[in-house]
Amino acid sequence: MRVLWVKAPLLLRRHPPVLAAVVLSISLAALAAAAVPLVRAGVESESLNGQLRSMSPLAAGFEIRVEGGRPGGDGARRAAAVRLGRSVRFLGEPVLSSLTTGGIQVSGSAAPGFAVVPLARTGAIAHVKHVTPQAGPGVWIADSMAKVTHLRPGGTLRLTIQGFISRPRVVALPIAGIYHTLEADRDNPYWANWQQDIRNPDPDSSPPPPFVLMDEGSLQRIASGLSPFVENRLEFPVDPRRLSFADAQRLQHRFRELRRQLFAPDSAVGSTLGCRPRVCETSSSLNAALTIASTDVASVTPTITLLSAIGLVIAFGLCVAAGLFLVRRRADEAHVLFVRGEAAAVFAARAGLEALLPTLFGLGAGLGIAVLALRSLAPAGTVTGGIVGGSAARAAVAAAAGLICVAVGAGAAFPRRTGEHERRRHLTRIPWEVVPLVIAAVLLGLVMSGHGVAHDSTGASHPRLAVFLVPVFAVAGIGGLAVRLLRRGLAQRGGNAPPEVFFALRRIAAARGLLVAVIVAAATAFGTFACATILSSSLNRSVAEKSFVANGSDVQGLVDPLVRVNKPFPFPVALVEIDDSYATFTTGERVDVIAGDPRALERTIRWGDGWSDDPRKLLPKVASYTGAGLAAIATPGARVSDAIIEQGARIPIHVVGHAPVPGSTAGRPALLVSRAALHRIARKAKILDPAPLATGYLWAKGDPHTIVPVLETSELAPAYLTTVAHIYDDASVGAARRSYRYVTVIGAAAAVMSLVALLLYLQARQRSQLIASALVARMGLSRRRDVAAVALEAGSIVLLAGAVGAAVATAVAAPIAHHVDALPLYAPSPTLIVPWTALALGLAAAVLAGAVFGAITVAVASRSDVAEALRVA
Amino acid sequence: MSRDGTRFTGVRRVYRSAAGSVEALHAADGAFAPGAIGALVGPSGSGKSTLLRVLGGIDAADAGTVTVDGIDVRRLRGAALRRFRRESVGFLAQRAAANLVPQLTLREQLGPNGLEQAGRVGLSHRIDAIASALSGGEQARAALAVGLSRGTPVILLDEPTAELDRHAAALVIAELRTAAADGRTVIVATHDAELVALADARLELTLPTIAVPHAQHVRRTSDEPIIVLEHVTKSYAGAAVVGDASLDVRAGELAVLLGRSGSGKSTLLMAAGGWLSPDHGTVRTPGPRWHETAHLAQRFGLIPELSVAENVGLPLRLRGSTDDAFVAHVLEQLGLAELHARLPEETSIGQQQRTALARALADRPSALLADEPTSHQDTASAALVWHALDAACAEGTACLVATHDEAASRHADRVWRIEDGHIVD
Repeated sequence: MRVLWVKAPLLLRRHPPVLAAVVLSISLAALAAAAVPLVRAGVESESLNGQLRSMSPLAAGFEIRVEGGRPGGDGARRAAAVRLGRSVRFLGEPVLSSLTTGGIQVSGSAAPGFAVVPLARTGAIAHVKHVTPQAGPGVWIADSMAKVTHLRPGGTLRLTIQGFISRPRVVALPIAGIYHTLEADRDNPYWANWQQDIRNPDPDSSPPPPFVLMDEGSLQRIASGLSPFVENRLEFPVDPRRLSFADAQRLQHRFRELRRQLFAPDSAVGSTLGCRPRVCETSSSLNAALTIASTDVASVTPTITLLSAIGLVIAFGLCVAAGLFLVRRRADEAHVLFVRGEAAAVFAARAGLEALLPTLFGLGAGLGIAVLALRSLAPAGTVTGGIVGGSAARAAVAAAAGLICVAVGAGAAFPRRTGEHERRRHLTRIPWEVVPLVIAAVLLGLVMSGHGVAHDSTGASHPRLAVFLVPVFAVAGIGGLAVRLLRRGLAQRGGNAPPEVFFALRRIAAARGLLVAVIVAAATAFGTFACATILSSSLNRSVAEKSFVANGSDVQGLVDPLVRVNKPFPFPVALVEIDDSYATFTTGERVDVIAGDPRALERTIRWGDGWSDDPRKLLPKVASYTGAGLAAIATPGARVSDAIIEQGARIPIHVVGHAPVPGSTAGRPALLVSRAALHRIARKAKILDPAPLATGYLWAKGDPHTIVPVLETSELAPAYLTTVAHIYDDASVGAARRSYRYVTVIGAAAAVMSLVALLLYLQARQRSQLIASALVARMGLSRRRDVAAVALEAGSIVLLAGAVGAAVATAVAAPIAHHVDALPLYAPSPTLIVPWTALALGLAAAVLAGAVFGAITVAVASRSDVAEALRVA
Repeated sequence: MSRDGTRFTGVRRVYRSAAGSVEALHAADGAFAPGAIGALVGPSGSGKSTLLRVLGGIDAADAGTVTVDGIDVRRLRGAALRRFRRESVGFLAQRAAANLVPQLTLREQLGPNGLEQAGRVGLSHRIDAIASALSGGEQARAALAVGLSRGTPVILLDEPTAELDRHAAALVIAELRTAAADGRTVIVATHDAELVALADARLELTLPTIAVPHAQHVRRTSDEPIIVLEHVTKSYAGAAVVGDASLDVRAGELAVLLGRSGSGKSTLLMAAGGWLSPDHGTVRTPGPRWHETAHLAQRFGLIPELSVAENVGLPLRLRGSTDDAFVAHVLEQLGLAELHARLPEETSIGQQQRTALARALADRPSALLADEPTSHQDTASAALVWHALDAACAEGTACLVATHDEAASRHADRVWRIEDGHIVD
C-alpha cells in the first residue's frame, strides 16, 4: 500500500520504545565510528601540548639567526620581525637578541682575560634570577663571573678583545647587578633555545663564557669599539594554548615556507631581517614535538580502533535487535501485511525508511556527543573542521550500516509460512548455539596460532579484536545450551516447593525467545567482563614477574664481573655473572649459567606474595649442597641433563628444583648456581671463571629513588642502571593494559544493560500478565510471595548467566592468556590469574541487582488498573 | 471471480513443541465449489483454523494436496506464494485487530469499492478513524469490509461472528452472502449455527472423541442470595455504562445476564467481582478470595509458564491444599484431560477458555462469575461448559454468567436482560 510508504518516515513516533532503541543504537554506532579520528586528534593535541609545554613556546617556535650583521636597534628590522610574527597564526611577538661572537674578555680585574659574551636580549633582565638588586643603569654579570673577577654592582666592567697586539681598546660599562648563572637555572623556559650557549655538552670541557646582559646601546658601543662579529637572533614563540595537532602541522609547513621566503633572492623581508647578503639560519623544535605526538598516537591507536570495533559490533547487534523489536511491537501489522502477500524484503525496506529520521537524529546525537566530549576533554582547538568532517563521514557510514541492520532485523522477524521447516529439516534441527560456538572455535584457533596480537609501527604489540570476540561467541553459544539443559532439568521439578520457588522454577523452565536472549546477553556481558578482568589480572601478574625476572630485583646495573662488594650497602645487593655463550647441556642445547651468592640472592631477589614457584625457597638447597658438581635451579620447562659442558669441561649438575630464574631470557633454559661452587669447579677443571664474554650484573632491592644515587657513586661503578619501571612503561604493556581496561568497562556496561533488559523484560511480562497476577492474588498468593517469586527468578537468571559467563570466560581465557604475551622476549611465560574474589563480588552484586529489579517490577505492576485491563479485553 | 473452487485431500499438519507433537490436522479432505459458502465446523481444537491457514498459504501442510482456485498451494514458493496471498485469497483472522494495520484509517485500507462495502457494514461514519481507535465490534466489521474490498476470488474467515452480537453478526452474514453471490468462494471456520445453516457445504472436522454429557445435575437452589447487586451505577468518562442495575443470585443457582456487545454486562460482572467500585449502589458477594468468588474473564489470565493441570490446580496449591482427584475430574469434565501436560499456548483458544473455567471451578467457589464462557466454544464444547457450570451449581455454587448468546437462557435458572446498562427484564 502506497500510504504505508507515505506515512513511514514519521511512523515510529507511534512506537516510542522502538524509536528510542533505533536512536540509541545508531547513536552508539556513530559514536564508535567517530571515536577513532576524534580520539586520535585529542591524543595528538594532548601530547603535542604536553611537548610544547615542556619545550617552552620559544623552543617550539621559529628562530632566525643572522650572522655578521649589526646589533639590534635597527627600527626597520624590528618592525619587519614584528610584521613577520603577526603574519603567521599562533606566533607571538618576537624576542630579539644580539650578541658578540668572539674574543671579548674582561680587562683589568682580578681575572684579566676572563671570556664573556655581551648579550642584548628583549626582556633578558626580567628572565634571570637576581642575586643583587639593581644599582643604577649598566650591565648585569653572572655570579660565577663575579666570583672570579670580584666585580660588584656599582663597579665598572672593562671589556677588551683578545688578539690586539698594539694598544688594546677597552670599553668600560657600569655594572648594574649580578644574576644567578644560567647554567644553574636549567629549567628556565625563556632560555630554552640558548642551552648550547649556556652549557657545554661535554662534561669534561670548560663551560662556555657567561653572558653579560646589557641593552642594545651598550652592545652597540662594544661592537663599535671592539669590532667583534655580531649575531642577531629572532625568536618567534608559539602560543600552545589553542594549537591542535593539525594546526601544528600547518604551522610546521608555514615555517618551511618562511624559510624559503627568507632565502629567496628577491625577498624584501629576508633583506630587512639581514638574511641577505649575510648567512641566515632558521630552526624550530616543533617538528620534534610533532614526531613525539605521532608516536604517542601510534601507541594508543590500536586500542582506540579495538574499542571502536567492539562498539560498532555492539551497536550493529543492537540495531538488529531494534529491527526485531520493531516487528515484535507491531506483530499485528506485520501479520496483516504477510497475509496480504508482502515480501519480507519490502517490509524491511519500509522499516529502513521508518528508521531513517531516527537514524539521522541518532547520527547527529552520536557525532555531537563525540565532538562535545572531545571539546570538553581535549585541549582547546583540537576539534577542527577537517577532523569533524572526517569523523562525520565515518559516523555517516556507520549510521547507514546501522540502518541496514535495523532493516535486516525487521526482515528477519517478518512472518514466514510456518511449517516450511519440513523442507529444510536438516537445518532447523541444528541448534542456533552451534553458529557462535563454531565462530568462537575459529577465532580461538586464530589466537592460538599466533594471530592474537598485532604489532604497530612503533614495534609495540597489542591484542586483536579476535581476543575479545572469542569469549563473546563462546559464552553466547554455551549460555544457550545451558538454558536448554536447565529447561529440561527444571521442567518437572518443584512440584511440592513453596509457591515462590514453584513459580520461579516454572518460569525459568519455560524460558523461550526473549528471555533466552536476555539470559544469553547477560551471560555474554558477564563473560566479556570476566574474560577481560582475567586477562588484565594475568597481564599485571605476568608483567610483574617478568619485570623482576628481567631486572633481577628493584634495580639492576651492569658491572665488571670481577668486582666484589667490599663495603656493605644499606640495602640488599647481589652480584651475579651470566654466561650465555659457552655453556650447553650434554645434548648440545645452549643454556645460560647464572652464578651468584645464594644467600645474597635470597635477600635481594624480589618475589611477590602468592606468586608461584618462588626461586628463593630453593636457594638454601643450592647453598647447602655438598655433593659432586653444581647444585642448580632450572627454569620451568628446561629439559635438564645431568651435566653441562662449560668451555669444553663437563660439569655434573644436580637440579634442586624448577623456578623462574632472575636474569633468564624467554625461550632459553637457564641454571642458577652458586658462584663460589662454580669458581671451585672452574679452578679444578682449569677453565676460566668468569667465562669469556660473561656479563656481570648488580641487583639491589629497595626504593630505586634511594638506591640509584648510592649505586651511582659507589666503587662498583654500575652502568645502565634500570628499574622495573622500564618494563612497566613498555608501550606493549600500556597498549594491552588499556585494551583490557576498556573491554572490562565495556563488559561491565553491557552487564548493566543486560540487567536493564531483564528489568524491561520482567516489566513487560508483568504488564502482559496483569490479569493473571490479579487472579493469582485472589487465589491466595500474597504480595510478599509474589515479589519473592519474581526476585528469586530474576536473581537465579542472573546467577545462571553470570556463572556460565564466568566459567566459559575462565576456560577461554586460559589458552588466550598464554598467546597474547605483551612481552614475549621476557621470561617467564604468562601466568593465568583468575580474580575469583572480584568476580564473585561482581556476580553477587549483579544477582542482588537482578533480584531487586524483579521485586521492583512486581511493585510497579501492582499499581496497574486491573479493572481497566479487564474492561478493554 | 473464483474459477475453480477449493479442493484439498489428505492434508496433515503437525505442530511440534517442547511438550511433544500435536497433530492439528489429520488427513483432512474436502472441496468447495466456486461461488459457494463453505463452513468448517468441529469442536475447538479440531484444526479448523489450521486448515484455513493452510488454504491461505500462511501455514504449510506436512502432507496432502491443496488446490485453491486452480493453484497448487503446497508447491508455491517465494514470489509466487506472495502473489497467491495478495491476489487469490483474502484471510481474516479470528482476532479482528489482527486484520487491520493499526496506524491507517479505514479509508486507507479499503480496496476498490471499499467505501460502499464499509457503508454496508455500517461504518460510513468511521471511515476516517484509524483502525486502533475503532471498538472491537467496529474492528470486526472493518476487517470484513477491508477483506472483501480486496476483491480476491477466495475469502477465508476464522470465526467472523464469534464476538459479535446478533445485529452485527447479521450484517456480516449478509455481506458474506453477497460475496458468494458475486461468484467468490467464501470459506468460514465457525461455531455459529446461523452461519453454518447458511453454508452451501459443510466440512466437519473432528477430535477423537468428546463425550458430551446429557444428564442434568440436580440443583439445590436455596433462598439465600450469594451475589447481590443493588442499584449499581457506573460511568466511564462521563458516559453511563451501567445504570441502576439490581440483581441477585442464590446459592446453587445458574443466572444468566444476557445482552449485546457493549450493553454493560461485563462492567456489571466486574463490579460483582470487586474489580471496580460502582459509582452508586451496593455489591455483596461471599468475599474476594478465589474460593469465595471465582472469576472467568474474557481474558483468561492463565499463567503461560504453567501447564494446563498446574493452572487448574493453582488455587488449591496457593491455599495450601491439594485435591488431585477433583482437579482431574474437572479436567475430564471439560475435555481437557489429554491436554493436562501442555502449556496454554500449545492449546487452542477454546481449550484455554475451558482451562480458565476449570481453574475457576477447582476450588469449589461459593460464587462464580463467568464472562462469555462459550464465546470460543463449538457446540459440543459449549455443552461441556454448561455441563460443568451445572455441576458446580449442583454443589451449591452461585453462578452468574454474562453472555450475548441467547441459547444460554436454556441452561439458566434465571435470566436478566441488560440493554444500554439497564436491566430490562
